[in-house]
Amino acid sequence: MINKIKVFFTLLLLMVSLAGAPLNTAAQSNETYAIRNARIVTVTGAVIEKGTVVIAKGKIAAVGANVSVPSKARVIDATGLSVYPGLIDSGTTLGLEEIGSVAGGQDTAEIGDNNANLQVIVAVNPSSSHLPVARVNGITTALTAPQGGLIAGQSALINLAGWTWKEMALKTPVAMHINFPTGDGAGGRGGFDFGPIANPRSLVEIRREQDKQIDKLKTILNEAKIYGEAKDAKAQDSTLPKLDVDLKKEALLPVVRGQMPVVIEVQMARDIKKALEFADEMKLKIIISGGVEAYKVADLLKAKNIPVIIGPVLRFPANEDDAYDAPFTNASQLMKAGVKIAFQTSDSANSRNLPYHAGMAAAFGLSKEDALKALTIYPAEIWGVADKIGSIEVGKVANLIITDGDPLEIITQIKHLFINGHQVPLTSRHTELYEKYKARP
Amino acid sequence: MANFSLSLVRRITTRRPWRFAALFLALTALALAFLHTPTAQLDSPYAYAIKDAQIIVSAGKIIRKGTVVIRNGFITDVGENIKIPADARIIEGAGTFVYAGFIDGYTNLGIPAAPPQTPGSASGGNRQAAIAAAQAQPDATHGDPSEAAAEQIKPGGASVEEERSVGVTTALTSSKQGIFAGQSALINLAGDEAAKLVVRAPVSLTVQFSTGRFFGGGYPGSLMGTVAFIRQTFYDAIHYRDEVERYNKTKRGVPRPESDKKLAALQPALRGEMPVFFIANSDNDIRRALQIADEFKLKPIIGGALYGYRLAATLKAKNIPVVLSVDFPQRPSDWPEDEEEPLRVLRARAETPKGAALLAQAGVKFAFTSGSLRPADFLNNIRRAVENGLSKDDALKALTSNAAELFGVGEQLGTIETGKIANLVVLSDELWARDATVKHLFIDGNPIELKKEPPTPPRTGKPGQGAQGTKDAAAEINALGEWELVVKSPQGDMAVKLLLQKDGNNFSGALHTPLGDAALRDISISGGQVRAIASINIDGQAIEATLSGTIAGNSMHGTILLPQIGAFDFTGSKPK
Repeated sequence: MINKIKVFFTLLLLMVSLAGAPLNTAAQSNETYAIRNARIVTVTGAVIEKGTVVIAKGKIAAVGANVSVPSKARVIDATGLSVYPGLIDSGTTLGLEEIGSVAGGQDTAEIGDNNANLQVIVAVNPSSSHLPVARVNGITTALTAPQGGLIAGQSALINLAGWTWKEMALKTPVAMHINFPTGDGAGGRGGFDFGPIANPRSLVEIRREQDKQIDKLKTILNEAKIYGEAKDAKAQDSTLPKLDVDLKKEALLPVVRGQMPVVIEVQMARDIKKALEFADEMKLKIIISGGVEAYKVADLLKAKNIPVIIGPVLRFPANEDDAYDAPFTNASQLMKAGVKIAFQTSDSANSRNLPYHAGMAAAFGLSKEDALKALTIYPAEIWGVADKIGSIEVGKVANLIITDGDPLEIITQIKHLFINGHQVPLTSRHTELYEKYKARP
Repeated sequence: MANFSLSLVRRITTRRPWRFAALFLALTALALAFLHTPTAQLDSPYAYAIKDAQIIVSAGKIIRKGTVVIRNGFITDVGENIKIPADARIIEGAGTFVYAGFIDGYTNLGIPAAPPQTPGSASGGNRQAAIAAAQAQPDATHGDPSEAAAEQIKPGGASVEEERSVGVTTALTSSKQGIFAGQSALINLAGDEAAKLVVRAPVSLTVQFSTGRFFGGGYPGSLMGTVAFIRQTFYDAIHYRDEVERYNKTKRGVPRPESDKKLAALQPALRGEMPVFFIANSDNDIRRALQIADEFKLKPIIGGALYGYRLAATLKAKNIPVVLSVDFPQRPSDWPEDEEEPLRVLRARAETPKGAALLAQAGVKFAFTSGSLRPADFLNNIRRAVENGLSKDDALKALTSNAAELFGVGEQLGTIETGKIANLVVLSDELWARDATVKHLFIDGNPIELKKEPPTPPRTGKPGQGAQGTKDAAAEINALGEWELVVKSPQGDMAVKLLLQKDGNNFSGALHTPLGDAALRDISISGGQVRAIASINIDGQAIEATLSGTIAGNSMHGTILLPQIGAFDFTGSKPK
């Protein structure tokens, strides 16, 4: 009898924990850690030259120069090392694509212009080899975003460790992603870009096509608005005819109501201006992504208070006559104008290079502090998770990296890494291959 | 006839000797007339005299007021105080300017566009067949050095008429298909029989750095492959020469070499007897051409050479003549005001018109080619080169005597001198005046009837203009419906159906091709011009094909452009 009761309660407990668990609790660690004698770069506060960070229940439990170490805590002596908040890559396809030439490993895009109903989180592959590769370089969190169509779908902010995509999700959905039409067949439309010379279409035609596509976008959003109004009316008055559920329009409701931000992928200054006009007209809350020429419209972006996700920084200039460092100085010019920025790699396998994108911007005019903030607290603010990640403060998720130097420097090694309070081993496919071939006689 | 004459002579001489003399004279005249039948002169039984005109004998040599007499196709007299033959038709030339006929140094005039069809590629109707055809017919990319332009020429045609309407009397013409595009011919731009047009043939061997990528169309598909192919072909030709020589010496006990007309056709070029006309515009293409020429000790001519001024010193040092294109890059007419252009493009636009002056300064000998320009723009762009520093004398030389010398007819053409072929242009003003018009034109001594007005290019009117609008509406209605097009490709003709419709204010349409069907987008129809884009799937790649056509009544002609593959001309009509 007692056994039966035990079994019953165990089952009950199990069911409760399965059904009611918030997204990330399952991923939390029960282990307590104390990182001692570390230089603590809190990002939001002053640097603590020698102090302790205590991690408990997956959260940062204590930070300071004089913090008592709990008795059961595992102690990490970080003498000579620094603790930073985990880095955030604000634009990736991590978990969505594995090997470029293997079609089965490609899950970044759907066919069609309007994919508003897509949520990338369901497609994230927790076993992707790219996740450990990125995280051993200090990236603990990434925005993973859909790519295809005019409206690509909804992105998710994921922690780069976990058994399931549910465990990994830090916030989902985060934003609606729109590939702003350029009219030239490239730019995320899935078309082939033959380059400006081979492209037979004249600029006038390209622009006409762009306007047509923008009109299409407006129509899609306006229809969602009307759908929302009909839905509201139906809620007020049940005698109205039945309204069929339309998932695409449903997904766009928070967008047209200004509740969900829209990430607009757009590069050139002229297109950015067009995107801002479009956002004003449709009353959208937008974030610019890419923005290689954003520095040319920095004042406008500041006036409208629109953040820019810069990147990749390590790229060629957009125009053949641009200064060679135009992509490198973009961040500092935006920062000077007062625009909030974050960095992205727009990659999966090479998300690991995120700190060096920021590092290049730091070498070309951006302050080191701002470069670090653009990898931590700024993206946390932009993505609405500043209460959870982005700095070393009590109560935040324990996404931490312990390094032997400035993480923006290539020579810096990550010595320890915590995600959700778990100490994650610093191994990846790269280290496995290194060990394998090192052992070869 | 001969026997009859002799017996007649015998009979007459025995009786009345003085009568014999008179008859002898008459017979001689008759015989002379017969002797001349197969030549061009019979077409010009008259003598002409252009009187009181300013005669530009050659660059720098001007007769202020003089007369040119032509007879039987030749210039028979030129000077200030010339006795005009009594039988000559007199052309009052007061106030006019007489020039030697202009020579266009590279064209495809008179050469039919499409090669012979291969059965199967057109009618087979599937992609596999098209690919197989491409691979089965390597000439499309390789070309054929034995292909003689002189044998392909079809006289007449609108483009020839248009070309001579600006004063071009002579042109080098060549097939444009393949890397070894064949042997060019220098032709006069008048006459009904191909054989009579040819002034000299073969003149040169045309070689171009083209690649074949049509429907996966075979080797070489890259620039490096093309260079390798050209070199290998010349080495093959050397091997062929040596084998034939060895066989001719020994005869016994050696296998006889297979007869190969392509390799045989390369021998004059290898011996340095026939110049090799490399079509090379960029400075790097010119370097490639020069390297090949050095390797095989060829006698090169650089054709195009739009950027040749960058290598002016090298060209001079190696004494390499150039046939210079004046097809200067231009700002696209519909380029938006607010759109910047790369410095590279602006620089090319600013520099290329100065190229001729730089080449002349360096001492490079050059002629001109119109490239893809309309003939009216050909002369206007030469005027631009003059405005950009080229001396008028050098420009005139390039347009006349240099070209004649370069193509081996310096004795026959290029200046107004006694004994030369009577190719003459009579202009209303100096050549350098932009509004100079052609008053009279003589080719092979024949007066050429000129088209009344050289056609003016259709200016794209601003949309919504009154008269233009109604015209457009009519043209638009005419354009709608079904069209049957024949697309000319190196692999043969391809039948394509084009459908154009209008729903409300939007055009729609489709393209039905043997490779598959595609919907059209970005359709624009105005002023008899149709433009549309279709995504065609070729080898699993979506290719954006741009169709642009000109409609005249129930027929349409134009081009389908496949990026990185090529441009393909088409003609078509509305089915009855």
